[in-house]
Amino acid sequence: MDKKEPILELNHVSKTFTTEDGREVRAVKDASLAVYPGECIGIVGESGCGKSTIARLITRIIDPSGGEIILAGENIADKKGRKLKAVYRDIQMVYQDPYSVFSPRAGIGTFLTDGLVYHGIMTRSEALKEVGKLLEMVDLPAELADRLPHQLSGGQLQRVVIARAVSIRPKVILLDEATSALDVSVQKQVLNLLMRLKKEYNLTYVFIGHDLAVVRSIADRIAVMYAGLIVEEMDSDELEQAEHPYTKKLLQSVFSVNDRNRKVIPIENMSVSDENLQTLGCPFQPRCPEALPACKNACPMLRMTKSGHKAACLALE
Amino acid sequence: MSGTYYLKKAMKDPQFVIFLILAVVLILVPVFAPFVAPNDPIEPDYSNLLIDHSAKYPLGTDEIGRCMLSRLIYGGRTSLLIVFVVILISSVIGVVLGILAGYAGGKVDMLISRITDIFIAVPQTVFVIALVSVLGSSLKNTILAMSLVSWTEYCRVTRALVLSLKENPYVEEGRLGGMNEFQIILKLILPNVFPYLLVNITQDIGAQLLTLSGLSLLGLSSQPPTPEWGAMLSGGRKFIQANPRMIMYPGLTIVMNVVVFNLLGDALRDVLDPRFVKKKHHFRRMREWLNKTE
Repeated sequence: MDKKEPILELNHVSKTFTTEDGREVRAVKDASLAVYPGECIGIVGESGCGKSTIARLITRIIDPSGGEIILAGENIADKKGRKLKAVYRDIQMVYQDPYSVFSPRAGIGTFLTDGLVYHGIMTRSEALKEVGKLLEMVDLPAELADRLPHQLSGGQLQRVVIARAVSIRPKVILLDEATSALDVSVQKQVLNLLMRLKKEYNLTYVFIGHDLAVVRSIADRIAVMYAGLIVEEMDSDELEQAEHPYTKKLLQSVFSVNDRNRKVIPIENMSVSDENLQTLGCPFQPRCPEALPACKNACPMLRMTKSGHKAACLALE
Repeated sequence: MSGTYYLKKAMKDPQFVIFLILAVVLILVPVFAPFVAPNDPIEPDYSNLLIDHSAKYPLGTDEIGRCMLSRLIYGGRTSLLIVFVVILISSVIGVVLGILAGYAGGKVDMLISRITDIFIAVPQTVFVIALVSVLGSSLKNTILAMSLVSWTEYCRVTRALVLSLKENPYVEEGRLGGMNEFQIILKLILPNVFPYLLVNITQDIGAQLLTLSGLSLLGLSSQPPTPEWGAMLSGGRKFIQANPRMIMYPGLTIVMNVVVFNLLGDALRDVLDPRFVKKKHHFRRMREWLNKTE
């Protein structure tokens, strides 16, 4: 896998939002990540750590403040207008809440064909002939094409969104919390469907989630984000050997049906505040059990560690 | 596809069906006035002045012996024509500006919103009266003046709707699906504005009829001998003691139209809401509605 050229590459991408009262919030700082064709990379992190901002940067719905986003050898970070539309064809997204992705007044068939039609891949009548096949691809009956969105369940809608994303044959599909809004049994089905489609069509996924258990079940590699930084990156089967203190804490916090005797969840009840977003040093330092005095002054970079992970931690260097 | 869904739902709603039929009747009767009206609305009959009712004149005659019923039927032509043209003009202007303001945002929004505010700040009826007085009272000027004050409401409603609609992920999804801004407005925003608009329009018919009647009462719309409901009301004032029906019949006609179109709009809103399915107790709810409108 390492020999292949990455299909999507983030080089020091950052995004700063300006709030209404003029303060600057750095949602993503200096993120670098490579995604190879045919793999699924998972991005995990707690609420507000910048995962969804990364997704919106990759889809180019929002403009990055700095850095390069390279898709199939081409920098798409500053594309605009018609060129941007060509980029949209190569990147599709599946959202957290399937209900809000559908215009309440357009039928399922229309929704499914819109992508093909407006990207100029097919005419409407050609595309409408494909609808049955597309629905069957995601294990849905072809009759659903005539329904309205509110007549379908959340799981069915999410499948339709996936079918639409796959139908355009994008180079990368972003799954932003794609299963979080579904209940657990449906979550499992959708995950299985995603894995089957990935194999059948050789798709590349970027799977964003807050649930480590879900992400590791589908992802080949996992990037852990904290406060706008990617703090660790590793193969998902090496997750147990995580080295970054934040990843370790995150791992301990994963719920499981088996451990009813578990003790207190080790991560303190402290969210990512602006304060630690703006610190000069490592943003995790205030919560870190292994913090060194040096952590206050220097922000670590993502580096190869001894065991072959990539981690951003001074204590590991 | 989705059209048949709403049609089926509409046909199951008794309130909608009843008021749709009534509204269609109220529109068709004036349209086919020459076939429906028993007499000529303008020809005076000096041998039958101010009679109560007879076989020839079902609702009696006015002070120069014109058939009241025929005048009411023909009057609907003028009144409803003015109302529909005013609504057409003001809703097109309002919706276009509202979508522009809501979707573009920024300076465009600022400009359009300020203009709207200026129009809203002036009391509407006073503005219409002033405008018609200056321009001279004629059908054209009445329509112009009324349109000029009523587009603001459409603009404000549309802008507010678009502001919330454009935040929906389906707009983002549309963009990823290769739509340009124009296609997003046309395919994703407008269809979701339209139902609210339709409801607004239906309920606006009543409001505009009242404004128009007020204007006519002051003698500021169509000129005699053209029959028009508000003008008839105005003409009947002199006979309020001796012949109250000359005020009663035009008044009832206006009230009937206002009520029917308002309740039709009400039912339409329920029908067009994709998530709203009316349960039983239609008739209990209908009675409540009627009580409310009283």
